[in-house]
Amino acid sequence: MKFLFLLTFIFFSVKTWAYPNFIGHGYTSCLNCHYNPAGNGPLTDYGRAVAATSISSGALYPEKWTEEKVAYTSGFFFRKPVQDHVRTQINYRGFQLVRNPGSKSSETKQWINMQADARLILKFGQNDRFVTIINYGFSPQPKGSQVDMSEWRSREHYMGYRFTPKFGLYAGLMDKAYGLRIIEHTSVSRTSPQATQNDQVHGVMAHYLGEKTEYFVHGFAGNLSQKEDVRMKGGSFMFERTVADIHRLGASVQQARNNYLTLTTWAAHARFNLKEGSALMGEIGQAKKTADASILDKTSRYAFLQTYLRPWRGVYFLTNIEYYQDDISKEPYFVRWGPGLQYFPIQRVELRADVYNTRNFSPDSSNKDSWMYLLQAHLWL
Amino acid sequence: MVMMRIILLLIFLIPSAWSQDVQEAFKRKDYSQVSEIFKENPSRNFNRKELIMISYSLRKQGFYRQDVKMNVRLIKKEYERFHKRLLAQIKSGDTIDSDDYPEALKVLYWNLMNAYGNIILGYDNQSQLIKKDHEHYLMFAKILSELEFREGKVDKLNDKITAHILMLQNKIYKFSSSWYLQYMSWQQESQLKGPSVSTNLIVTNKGLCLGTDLGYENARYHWYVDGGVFFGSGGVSADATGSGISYQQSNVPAYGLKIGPGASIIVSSSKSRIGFKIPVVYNSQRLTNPGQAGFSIQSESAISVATSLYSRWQFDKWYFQTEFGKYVDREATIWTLGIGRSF
Repeated sequence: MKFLFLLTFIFFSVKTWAYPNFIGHGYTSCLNCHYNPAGNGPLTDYGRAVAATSISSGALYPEKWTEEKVAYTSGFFFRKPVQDHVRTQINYRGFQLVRNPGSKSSETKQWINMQADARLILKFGQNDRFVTIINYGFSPQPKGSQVDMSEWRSREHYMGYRFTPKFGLYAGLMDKAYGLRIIEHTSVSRTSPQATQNDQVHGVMAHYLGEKTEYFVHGFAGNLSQKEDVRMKGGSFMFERTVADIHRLGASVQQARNNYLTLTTWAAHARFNLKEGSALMGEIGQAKKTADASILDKTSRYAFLQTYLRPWRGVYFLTNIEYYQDDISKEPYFVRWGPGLQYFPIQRVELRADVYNTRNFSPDSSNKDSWMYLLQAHLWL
Repeated sequence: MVMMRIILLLIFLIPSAWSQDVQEAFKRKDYSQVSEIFKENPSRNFNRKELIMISYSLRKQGFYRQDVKMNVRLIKKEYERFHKRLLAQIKSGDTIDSDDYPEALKVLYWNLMNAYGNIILGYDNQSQLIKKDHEHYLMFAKILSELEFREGKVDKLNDKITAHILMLQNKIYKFSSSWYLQYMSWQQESQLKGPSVSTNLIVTNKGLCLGTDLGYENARYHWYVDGGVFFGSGGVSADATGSGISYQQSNVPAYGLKIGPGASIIVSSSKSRIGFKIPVVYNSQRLTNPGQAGFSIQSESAISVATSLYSRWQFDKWYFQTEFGKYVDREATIWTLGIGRSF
């Protein structure tokens, strides 16, 4: 049973929801658009307006509509909020995943409901300095699990208070402050440090936002809805610094452990603003995993590169390039290329197509690349 | 005596009839007719009111250069003294009191600026003439600015003209070149042929590619030819099921070259771009034949054509680039990532 739990932690399918590539639009800090200063989760009113205007294509709106009018329709169910304290949001994301496309013997197709969240936001005070976030949603079938473990659960619930515009404290269930919170849930940069879709933890996070620097310190006691022996308790630290006015460099460290596993990770990352929505992001890191029963003692190394180019408003060409060496004491590693197209035809709708090509490098064998593609729809109200 | 009177009457009546023809056509809003009357006899002694009507009609008809002449004529005729004084004040940097100048003169400057603005907006491509027209435009924009006349509208037109000139400049293609160094991985296919079975072999290579691209680009598009030499090595392994042979090689040297056309769309002011290439790839890699009798290695064609998706992120002169391609006639892929420098 303990081994099953360990496996679950190692192979849990993951997903986070943030768009750090929007540094290409000039947004260096996540706090501009998200209630959570490290990104992910519910959008602020401003964030929804940005999604409706700068991010989404304007081609489907009537010509007479001004950007201001579009921004006013970005509220829940297209309405301009009539009061300041309560916000509700609904999010859905699903995709068709096709593995080994074109192969008569091994092609598989699967529709995955990856996200179905209902969110409640309570906010009070000047500049919404006191917030309460409740996010209840669907947790899909974990990757590698043979039994149905999908469930509806609290994805996050926390309260935050900003003592000053520069400093805030947040307490409750939330994502770990660690690395680039990219949207690609199977990315090695999220799975390797266990900082992804279902890795939320109960804890307290302090956030400092300076002129050029941003710091996060997160102490956590694991996810309290899990059995105590599998809760990952520990802490993480992340900082980012603005360089050359528009780019960001950052680093993260984390240590966490439960009764079976000790996880020590570090990462360095960079986000470059290439203007008009184009961006280049990268992260390199290592994760050392040690199991007390000596069944596991290895250090994994990864690199992640994500490139965004925006030829037209609402359209992004992206490529994810990932490198992963499961055990740095051994030679094999893989490189995964994922060119894709992301399209926001109108506010509240994101369509995306990705192709993934994985190539294994090993001194002992050489195989054909593996392929898969996914077609994704993301809707929000 | 009667004859004399008739001649004098005709002399006075003809200009009167002329004047009426301009005003009547203008009243009918027949701007074409007004323009025609002017063009038939431009040196005719039109009065001030007629000149204003003609100027308006010429603008309506889109004859901006003639309109410029008309407004200059009006200024010379009616306001030359003011005009010279204003130019002298601007030149010497004196403070200008706009109330010292008649409104009608300011309107004439406004017409001149608009006429030159419309001339500039009429250019579809960069031309030598634009420079002169733009200088005139800027001169009248400055005069209006000094006179504090319709400042908001002047600024708005200035922005429009600046954007149009930038657009024209952006359309100009210039020669461009760069060199690059890439980390590269590519696969090569071969077959292990035996007496009874043949097994597909995949060699996974990695190495470096040194290359250059030459082409033409404007602010939006880049057309080029890209070529480079590459070298590296790779390994291969196979178990020919049932044949009793296990074949493995590692660090097999490989080299080759790739050359082909490409096109990109430039998507940001940093000159980052996305596009495609169609490289022809020549790859040379010799796998050793197995020692067992009856077995041999049969390589696929050394020359292949690929289509690839190309992206470049520009940091001033230096850039980072990625390329992901697939051979047209087979399943294998080729990808690169590297740095380069533009010239």
